[in-house]
Amino acid sequence: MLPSPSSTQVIVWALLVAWLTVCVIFDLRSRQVPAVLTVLPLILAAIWQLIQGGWQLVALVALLVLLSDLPQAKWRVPVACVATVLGLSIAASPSIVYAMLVVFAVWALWEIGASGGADAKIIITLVLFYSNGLLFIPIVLVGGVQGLVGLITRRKTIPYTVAIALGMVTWLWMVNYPW
Amino acid sequence: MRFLRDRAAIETSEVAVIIAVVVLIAYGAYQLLGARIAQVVQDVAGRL
Repeated sequence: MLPSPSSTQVIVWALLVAWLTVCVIFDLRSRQVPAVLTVLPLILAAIWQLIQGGWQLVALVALLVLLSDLPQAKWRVPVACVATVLGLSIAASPSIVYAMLVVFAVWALWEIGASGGADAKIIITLVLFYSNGLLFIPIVLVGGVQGLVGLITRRKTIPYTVAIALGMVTWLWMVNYPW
Repeated sequence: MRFLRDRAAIETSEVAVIIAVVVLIAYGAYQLLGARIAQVVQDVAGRL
């Protein structure tokens, strides 16, 4: 029999799933997610991470946000790379190290145009909230399956927010109910 | 702030497949060599 989660956990999961579902609906309709649905959760997750003591991760995210406005576009990713390496050197725990690597990867994918700003902000929000970069793995794998389906059927109509939502639910399931 | 202003969301594409393959390979390599990597890092730290 599966262990029953606490009521707080259930409320947090319900809020997360509701938020991700609303993001998917907006994405399906217009291929855009309103800033209020991405920036506000990002700020709340950063505050939560600060409360948890992971200021290094929050500092890296803030630095990457600022670096996206660097006038010399070709220097953005290299400078962000250096900032991430410096961040890794002061990371307080292995989970913060993984989280920093994922935050940098997601930001860099957005910077080179391989990802949307909304997708990137949603993933970074989740990483900040759970301070765990490993949640990126199921998201990426679901995204890969979606991509394969799109390639086979020659249709690119599945928004990446679907992969984020399904990957997140998968990760929550794996963490709470391991085999 | 360009990053915060960007509301665009992408559709999955061949890039998503490539990223998934890269992450799978990296994760597999870490699972295979993780202990060895940790040993090397400890050796280097010990010498320093």
